[in-house]
Amino acid sequence: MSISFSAIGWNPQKKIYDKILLALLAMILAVSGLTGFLLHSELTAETLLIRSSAVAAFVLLHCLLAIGPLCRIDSRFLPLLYNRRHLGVLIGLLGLFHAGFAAFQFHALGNIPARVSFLESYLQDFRFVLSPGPLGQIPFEPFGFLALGVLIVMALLSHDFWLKTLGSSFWKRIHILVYVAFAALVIHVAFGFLQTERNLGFLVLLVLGALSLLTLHTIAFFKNRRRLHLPGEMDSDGFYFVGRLSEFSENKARTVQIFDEAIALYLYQGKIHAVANTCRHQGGPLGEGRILDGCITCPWHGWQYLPDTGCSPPPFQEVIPTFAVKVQGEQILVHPKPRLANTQGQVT
Amino acid sequence: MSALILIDTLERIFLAYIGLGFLYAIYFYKRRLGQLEPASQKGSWGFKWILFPSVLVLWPLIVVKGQSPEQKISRLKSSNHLRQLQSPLFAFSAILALLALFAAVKGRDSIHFQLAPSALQHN
Repeated sequence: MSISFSAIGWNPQKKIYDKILLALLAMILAVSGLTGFLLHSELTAETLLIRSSAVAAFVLLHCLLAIGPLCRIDSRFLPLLYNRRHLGVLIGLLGLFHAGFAAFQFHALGNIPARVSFLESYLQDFRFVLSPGPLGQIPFEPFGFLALGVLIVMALLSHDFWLKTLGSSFWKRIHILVYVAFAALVIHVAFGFLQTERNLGFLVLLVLGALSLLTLHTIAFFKNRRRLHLPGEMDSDGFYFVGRLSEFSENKARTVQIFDEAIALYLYQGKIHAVANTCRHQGGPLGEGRILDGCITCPWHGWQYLPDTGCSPPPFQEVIPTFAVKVQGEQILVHPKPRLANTQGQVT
Repeated sequence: MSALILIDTLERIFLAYIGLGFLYAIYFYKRRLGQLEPASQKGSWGFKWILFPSVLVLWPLIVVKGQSPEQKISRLKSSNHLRQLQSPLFAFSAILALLALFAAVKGRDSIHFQLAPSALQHN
């Protein structure tokens, strides 16, 4: 929600996070290189480097994919989500290094020009599509390319400028392609590395990694569904019953889904305020945040909105829709028609 | 021979694409950047340079999808649906990947090694 842009949004927390990230990367590279050397002492340093960079990217991708569901399961993981973007860029760079170095190693050192060698090998992949052979011969390189393409596009568009310019919805759609990248990488490893590496440990680790992420996402999905309440009956003015005042806690929200409107209802200074449950920044769940300094604060990246108007505090200019609220004794009712404030903060 | 023609054609297409990216980058920095986001004019040189690879590589996307502030429309509902779809989408990808993994392990015995042409020459 910054009003000016900088190259990299570093702050003291992000610097600490990045140092931890680099230490983790060094550790993965060391463990992976050492394991490779101990298992296959005949491997060259170049091959170990190609494999270690791939292992690092793959392990870090698992970490990245675990952050989202972990935050939905337990809010204590939210600081990881706040710093997730640098992790994504690092994975893209590692993938680029892995692919670039492998292409150089396998295509640039022979007597045939590198570009001819490169194309000849990949034409073989397309021959497989035209006349499929045994399963073990499915080419693994195209899946790696697909994953790399997704990761690079994500890294190139990771800056907040692109998020704002392309719109958060479209930006998010592009970033959800990371799931495609994950599947493509598992297939890349399965039809590449695992075809020659028969050590059962690698297969077990690969399956465990995918199953762990699947379990986390399943738990997060059901927890999310439990959090979302359904409305009660509608009154004659089109307001829906959404709960009793005693069910609300000060500075916290209750989330309701009325048709296709997800609404976060906050109790603030004894009054109920209803706003859209989606942050303007990256579509974060505002109902899982809380009120800090008089503002509804998104749990993902801390974007803020005033509870009564839905406007960000000055000098920021973001606005989210609000909804009319009616209090009848203990009963809270809300109208599902969204209202948007103007630049002066007046709700129309 | 046909492979060489294909390589030359692909290289020319790639160079033309990047060349157009360069031309678009000139226009982008001169006019479009300020139109897309007025606040970006206050941005540092580092910020402007970090956008360069994205403009060079993804210029068609920026031409088509780049929105100036007055064009931006509310897509909050779409973002909300997308957030709720994340876990099912991941589950679909992961199950697909696990099935492929199973197939890959089943097909391991049918493997035949194929070295890259340059590696064959090398040896």
